[in-house]
Amino acid sequence: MLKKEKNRYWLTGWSMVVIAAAFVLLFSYVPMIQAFFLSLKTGKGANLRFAGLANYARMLNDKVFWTTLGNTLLYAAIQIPVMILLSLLIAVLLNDPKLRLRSFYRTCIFLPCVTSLVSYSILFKNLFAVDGLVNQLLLKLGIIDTAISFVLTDGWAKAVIIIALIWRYTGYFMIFFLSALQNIDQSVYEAAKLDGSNFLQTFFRITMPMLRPIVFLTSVMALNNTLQLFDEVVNLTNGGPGNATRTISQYIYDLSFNFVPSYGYAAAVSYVVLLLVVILTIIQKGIGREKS
Amino acid sequence: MKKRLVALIMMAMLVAGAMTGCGSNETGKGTEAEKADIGKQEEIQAGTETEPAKETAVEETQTASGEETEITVWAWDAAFNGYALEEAQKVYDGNVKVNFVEMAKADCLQKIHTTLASGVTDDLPDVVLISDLNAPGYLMSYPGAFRPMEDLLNYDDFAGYKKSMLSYDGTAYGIPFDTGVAGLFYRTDYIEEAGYTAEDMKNLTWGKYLELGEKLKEKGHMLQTYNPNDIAEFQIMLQSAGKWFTDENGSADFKNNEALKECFEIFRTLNESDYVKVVSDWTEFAGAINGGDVACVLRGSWISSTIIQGEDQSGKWAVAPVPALSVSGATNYSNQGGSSWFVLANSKNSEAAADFMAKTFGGSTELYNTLLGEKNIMGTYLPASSVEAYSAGSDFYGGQTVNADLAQWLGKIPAVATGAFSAEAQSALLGVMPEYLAGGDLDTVLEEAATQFEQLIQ
Repeated sequence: MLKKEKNRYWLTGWSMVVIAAAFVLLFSYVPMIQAFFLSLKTGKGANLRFAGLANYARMLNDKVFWTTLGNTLLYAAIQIPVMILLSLLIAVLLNDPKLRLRSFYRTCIFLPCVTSLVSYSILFKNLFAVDGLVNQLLLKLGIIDTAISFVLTDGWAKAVIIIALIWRYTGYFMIFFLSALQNIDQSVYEAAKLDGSNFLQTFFRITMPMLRPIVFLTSVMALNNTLQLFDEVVNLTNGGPGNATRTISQYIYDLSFNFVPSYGYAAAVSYVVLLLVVILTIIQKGIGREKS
Repeated sequence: MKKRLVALIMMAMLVAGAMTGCGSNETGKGTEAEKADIGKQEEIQAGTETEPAKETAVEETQTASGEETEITVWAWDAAFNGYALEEAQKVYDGNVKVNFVEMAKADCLQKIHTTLASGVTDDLPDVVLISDLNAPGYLMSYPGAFRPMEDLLNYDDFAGYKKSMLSYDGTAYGIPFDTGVAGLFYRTDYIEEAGYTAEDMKNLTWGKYLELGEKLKEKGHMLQTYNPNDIAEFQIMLQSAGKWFTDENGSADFKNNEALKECFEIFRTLNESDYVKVVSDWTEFAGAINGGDVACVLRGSWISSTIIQGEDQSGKWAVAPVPALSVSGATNYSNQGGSSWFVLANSKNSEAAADFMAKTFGGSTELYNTLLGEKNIMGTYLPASSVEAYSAGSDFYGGQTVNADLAQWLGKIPAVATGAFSAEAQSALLGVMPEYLAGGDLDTVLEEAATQFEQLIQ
């Protein structure tokens, strides 16, 4: 009887996920495996030959690859911590039951992430154009004498992209923190209050530790997002000046479509991104566990 | 027990559903994606009705008898390329119907890549439009995918530079179409203020051109736009001297390329000058032209459609040959852009399409006359350069016979073998540009660019 019960459990469970699982297998994992075999081939367009690990060796000497990898990691290293901290702070502020118009503020802060990637990039491009709003504001306020060509200067261009990313995704991650905050038992806070804990103490000693799993989840998601960064850079700076803002995804695109296509090499670079995500996720997980 | 049976049956059904779902998805995968990409796909779908008669259909069209043959064409810009196809259909005797599928240029070029790379021939179009600079890359990447056209076309009928752009391994493939004959478009009123005449503009050197910039600045005008992240003008400058980014073998021609070095020096001069309008994209670029900020625009003749958007400036523009570099072999004639038609070898109505294209775009002066007269579309078909539409003066260009002038320069453009790796070369050069503009040594950065280029083309 017990065995039958178990069987039925198994059967019901699988009958529910089998379709989704089959589709994921067919459209996600099979292409991933195919891409791996593709990454072992070299040649232009359809003239592909099996070449073992030649593509991976080629990467070692490919300066553009390292530049784009560096850029991508730089974006992640600056944008993710700032954004997570900001969204956590905003979430805590907006979680205050005494605050009026709470849902209005929440909507406002969440709104940027419903805009399309391309349109918000164009918006930022206009804002930071040579005769754009930001320059005019700074000129009027007398902070600068001549307009800065934001998207044409190395450092500024990177900064603009990071600012744009933070603007768009902070609200999105705030929602995760908000819902997590709602799961924290109010009695914990009440107890802390009775013990005379102030806002900062409560934030760092109670809220933060309680939110650790969500911080982990959001940072992995944000990392994934940033490592695949494409639209914003293409539309804001098109990778320029030179390769100063080019991301690894844009390089993969260039290799497949802008240049005479090297599909094998492009697939190899994609695999390195995949590896990177896996490694960074493991590291993050390690750090998260250590502290708890 | 009963419940378990029901569950089993349900599961079996679900699995079966999933399998068949996947099955049909597999076969329909290509077309599904295409439907999402472009709107006009239904017509192609309709074209599959003729599929069972595939082998016979080709023979039939060759004898020009029987029913209508549908030719599917992928290209961009309905007002330009779509219009040209429509007119071509009118001058063609055979019974064909052109199914023009419009896509954005980048989408079109990308879709040709993905379709050919997949190796699936079911949904191939019969004809595609490819920009000349990209063409050698396609010919190299997909051997056997395109139909050689030497048996149907006389390439001597076309501007000489065109054939070298669409040949690969000694075989010519495409049907040359529009030209990007380059011109220096300028504001007559601004240059007069600066003390230059139309005669001065005719045989400019880059030295004199940059001098003009200084003088324009005194009068409160800018010479031209400048985008430190865009070296498209190098294409014009190099070809005007019969040079290119790469040599005949497709390797980097950076270090000992005097023309390229001069391009870099001019670029740095522009970067340091105060008489250029800095722009970062097309919108700002077009805005600077139409807003009257700049006196000159150096581009392929296709830029005319942007310039004439500024209707209030009608009569104030003119066009001159491009400034010449100071290296040996330098001329005042060059090219930028332009595209050609390519017939796919394995498509449904490939032979019919080849015949259609050869007899229209490769042999009808009447067609080119219409295109030029109605829409200012200039082809590279030389027998058509005497057609009457060329002699008409343009009001926008102050009565100048722009088309006749451009057509005259067209024949003088030095032919260069652009090879397949122009995009890679420009990317490598742009990669080192910030370093050079910051004061880097030219030979050093060019050497670095050459290394990057070798990396990119592996």
